[in-house]
Amino acid sequence: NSKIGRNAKQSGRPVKVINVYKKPPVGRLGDKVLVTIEHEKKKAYIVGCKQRQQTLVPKFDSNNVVLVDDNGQPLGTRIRAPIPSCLRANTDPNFVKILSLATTFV
Amino acid sequence: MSLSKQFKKLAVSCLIHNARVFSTSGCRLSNTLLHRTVNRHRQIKGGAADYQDNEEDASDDTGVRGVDLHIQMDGKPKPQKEVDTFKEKYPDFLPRTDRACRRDYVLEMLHRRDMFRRRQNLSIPEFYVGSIVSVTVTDPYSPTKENRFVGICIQRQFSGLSHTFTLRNIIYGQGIEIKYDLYNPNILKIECLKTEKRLDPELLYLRDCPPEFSTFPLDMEKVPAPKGKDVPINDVKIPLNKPPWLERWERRKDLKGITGNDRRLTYRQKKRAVLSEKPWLENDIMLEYRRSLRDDEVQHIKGVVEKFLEREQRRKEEAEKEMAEES
Repeated sequence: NSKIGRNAKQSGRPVKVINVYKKPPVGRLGDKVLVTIEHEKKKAYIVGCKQRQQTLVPKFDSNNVVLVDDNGQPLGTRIRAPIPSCLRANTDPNFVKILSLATTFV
Repeated sequence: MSLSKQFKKLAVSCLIHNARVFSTSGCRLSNTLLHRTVNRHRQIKGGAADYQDNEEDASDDTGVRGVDLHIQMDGKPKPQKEVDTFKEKYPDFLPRTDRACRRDYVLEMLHRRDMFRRRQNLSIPEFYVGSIVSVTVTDPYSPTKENRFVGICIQRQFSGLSHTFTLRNIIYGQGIEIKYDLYNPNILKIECLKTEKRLDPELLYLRDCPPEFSTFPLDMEKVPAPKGKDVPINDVKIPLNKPPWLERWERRKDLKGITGNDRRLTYRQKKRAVLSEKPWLENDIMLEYRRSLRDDEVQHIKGVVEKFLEREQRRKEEAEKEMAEES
């Protein structure tokens, strides 16, 4: 629920992924991406995918992303949407910060 | 006997057994059928009394065998209906029919054995596409080592041990679908909160319907199923959202559970739709034969499953008696 996130939702301008920080640049659950939002570029982590997943991994109806600044600190203070609990396996310190903000796990 | 010898013996006996019973060209992908197989097939469907399955025990035909009577003799359910209800209740035990030439009877038998073993440890309730199911899975990352999800079953796929079902729910405004293997050892508990059926075999259209129809409370209480009666069919007709959709629902006129299937198409789209139509498929008898399962085969599987269930019941009763005696 960062300021920019709230603005984006209100204005209805879709958030678009422009770069994936991975070798084959395909973004999946838990990947870091570059995202345009409200005419700005921000880094983000993918927390929900529309892609068909393995069994026991949830598939979301929309692609969800958690905004993060250049140091890896999440921009918002809370994440209302449910997050797949398989992401808790990530020991990446930035990710751990994101997961601590989450309210529900699926 | 060494394990490989045991396995060989089993495999050979299974093959012979199955070859005798299902030794028709039902396992070959062919465009021609021998006359005798066609007649045999016809006789099974029509219910001639002279078709005898020598290997199976003589089934409980008390004069109602296959003959389509409108009067119920002895109050017993018609065998055809039993077969159909079995097919719906245990779709995981039905062998795959999309590749008739590739059916491996030994594999199916081994799958069935493992499925029975798993069912001894986990009670899998009867649920259908359209029932609301709650699944508890072990989760090493959660504080309580469990993770529970409730949703409506929208799809049941595959056969044997890899049988999966997909549950859909909307949580905090986010639509979530999770696919579970029925025989995954990570699953701790499956509970059917509401047993019911819908008008269609798959409810994938819920993705394009308003969210109220996919939301189910996570702390929903169990609705007791009516005993002895047929499974209730929820003939709700859900309106689709406005197009664009995730799938071409305007082409699926066979789906009975939705309204608003129509869409204004451009001239080009209409032409394309006509090209992709395959009207010859409904008259393709060979395809139907290849895709269908023979009733006697389903009866055989049904017999095996019922034997297992009986044995399980007896085992449970004996265990209970022992517990009572001990205490």
